[in-house]
Amino acid sequence: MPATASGGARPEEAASPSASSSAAYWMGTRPEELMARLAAGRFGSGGGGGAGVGGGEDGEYERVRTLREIKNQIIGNRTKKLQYLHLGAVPAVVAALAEPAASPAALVQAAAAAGSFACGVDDGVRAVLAAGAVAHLTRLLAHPDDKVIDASARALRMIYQSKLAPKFDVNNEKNMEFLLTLLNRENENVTDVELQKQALSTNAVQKLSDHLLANSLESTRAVTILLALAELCSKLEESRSQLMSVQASTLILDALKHACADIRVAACSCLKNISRSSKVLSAGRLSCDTFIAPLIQLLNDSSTSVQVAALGAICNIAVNLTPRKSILLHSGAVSQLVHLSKSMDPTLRLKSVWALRNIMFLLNPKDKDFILKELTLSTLSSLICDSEHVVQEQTLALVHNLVDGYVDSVNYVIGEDGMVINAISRQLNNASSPGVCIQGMLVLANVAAGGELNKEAVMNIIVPRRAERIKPSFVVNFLQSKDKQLRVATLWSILNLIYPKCEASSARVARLQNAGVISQVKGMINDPCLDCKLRVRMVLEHCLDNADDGFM
Amino acid sequence: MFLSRIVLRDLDSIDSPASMASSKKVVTRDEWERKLRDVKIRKEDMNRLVMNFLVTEGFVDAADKFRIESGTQPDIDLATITDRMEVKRAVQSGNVQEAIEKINDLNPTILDTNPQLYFHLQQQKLIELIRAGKINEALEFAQEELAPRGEENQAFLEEIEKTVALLVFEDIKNCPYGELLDVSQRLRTASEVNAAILTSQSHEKDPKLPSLLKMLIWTQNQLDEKAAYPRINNFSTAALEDPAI
Repeated sequence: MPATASGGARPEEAASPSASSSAAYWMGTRPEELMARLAAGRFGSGGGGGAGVGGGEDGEYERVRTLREIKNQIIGNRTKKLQYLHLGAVPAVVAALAEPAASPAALVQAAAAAGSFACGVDDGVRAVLAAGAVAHLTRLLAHPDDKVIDASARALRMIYQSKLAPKFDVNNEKNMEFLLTLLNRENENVTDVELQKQALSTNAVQKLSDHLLANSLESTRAVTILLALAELCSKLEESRSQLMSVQASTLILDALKHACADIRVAACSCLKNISRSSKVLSAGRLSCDTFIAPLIQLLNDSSTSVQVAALGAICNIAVNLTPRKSILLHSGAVSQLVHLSKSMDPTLRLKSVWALRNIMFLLNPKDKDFILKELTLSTLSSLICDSEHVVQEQTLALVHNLVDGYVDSVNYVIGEDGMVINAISRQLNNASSPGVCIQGMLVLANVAAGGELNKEAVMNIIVPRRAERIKPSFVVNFLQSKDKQLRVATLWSILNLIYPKCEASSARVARLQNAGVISQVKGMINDPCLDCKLRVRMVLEHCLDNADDGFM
Repeated sequence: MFLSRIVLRDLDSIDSPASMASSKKVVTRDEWERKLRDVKIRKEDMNRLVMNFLVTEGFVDAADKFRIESGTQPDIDLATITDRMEVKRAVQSGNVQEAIEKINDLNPTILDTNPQLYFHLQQQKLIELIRAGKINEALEFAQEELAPRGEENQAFLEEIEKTVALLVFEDIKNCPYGELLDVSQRLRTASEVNAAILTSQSHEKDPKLPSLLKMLIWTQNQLDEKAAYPRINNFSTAALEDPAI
């Protein structure tokens, strides 16, 4: 048997670990050899096999070692998986799972290997399914050895994560029972198998919520079931409508007020995922009035995770309520959100600003004023300069939504001695994260689309009048950015500064020229991004337009 | 415009540095220290912070000793830390294959779902072979194992090129990519492994202490706008520095 005849150093005998691992690799563990060893182990009891690969304990030990070696070679390694697939490894590995007298050690290694084959390789999934692994692994979930259960659950999870995996038919009563027993287990790996949304057939939501209704929220599984429902709703439109039936809605409403924080969090997750569907919201099935008030109450919850979860739900509801946002505005949501935006916890700050941003989107001017009055310009300026760049970014997006479509709102940005615009300028000059710079430039572009006062204000940010010529305008750097969104936003600001043609615009062209901005734009005539190219062309055309006396 | 009639709540308007200096409240060192003394902090809370730090960073022995001496209970089972620490130690000593096998025993899904980590471990393996002077093996390994990683994912190509380049130079310690041979490279990989294992165990991979410091920074930034007070600028000494007036 070639396997046992393999020469060279064995791992245990070599001098230094790294030396031995590579030596063993090259001499005794090539895929073909391992496959042969595996096959030999199956037929055990010395029949036809070489010495050392007989039956009994030694044989089992060898089998475990071989399976482990194969497993270690394929995990993380797509190339090796394909290699072993072509050698027919999967049926051999699954056969090890099916072996009635298999040792727990062998089962653990075989399960891990099977799961790994199904990870990230379509052919692997097909092979694993064809070999009947699912049935064996499911059976092993009831094995007395905990490690075997763990390994099987993990493997099943991997398999179900693939879209090629079959759906777990919830209509079958036995399956439903089994599902519920699994949900009951303490073992996280096991319960996670149910959270695989693709694993469940389409009316799973119905069945699960029916079950919840029947058994009340007091059962220990309630949290897991609610989370499973939330997970199911995260991508599937159909699940969302199902969850919005009258009974299910009442259930969720109760869950929002439940004494246990985890249940409140799970209920918020359900709502967050359901509100991804504009159809569900606008069809009025999600009677906003019923859910919004309790959600806003939760903004005040004693548990931060509940507050965060409630914020998530409100964020999505805000997006999909456009344009009927008056409900949110008159419910006290805004003052709560503003309060949370000043929290010490960065996650609370982030999500509350995000919610405000979403509410601000396409809002009418009167309501925008209302929000700004609650928020105040100084809070807005601090948030623009927040210590977390994600908060800075959301705040700037909020300002963007503010000025968009509301010409007079620009006064918020340049009023009060330019508190807000100066904060924006600080961030743009500080080499902040790309997201922040993009949002900042979008705000400036919008502001520059206004009247003379606005254009001058933006101009003074981009090319400061003070004798600070040492440092080039940040705009020049942005135009050189690899990020096309940043280049486009910057080009728009420049465009808005020099259009329409007038004396003031010509003066601005000259200033931009002196700051090296126009020559930078000239160099971008062949920008790879079409949008940029168009704006570049427009900028240069307007420069020519404005140039009375051949500035250029 | 109606804007001029908008009333700004709370804070005085903060326009320019000049007005800031005159309207800011000044707190002397004595006053500050007196106020600090009035704030009560519980010893147990501090102990738990220390324990959380030791456990997350994986200092098992220290955590155990601390548990015995202070009576503080660790927030995760010390046994799970031992596994994680063995993996970390293996990487730090350059025994990458051992580390890989241990991770796969602990949780086989980690490396399958963390391609970047898997790549870094294999890269480290190559680095160790080069360090040991096993050039032929290194070349074969690079071909058999690293090249496929580059095919599977283009993002790794640059790193692969850098590592393979080491094979070209005679004096590897001083060549352009010599820093790959540094101990710091091992530590970086080890840290990546540690975080991945913690995450897979649904444990927060970051200790609480840094978050507290972040909150301190935030608070001081907020306070800076309203007052001049003894500030902490050096976090390792936590020394109070007198307010600049």
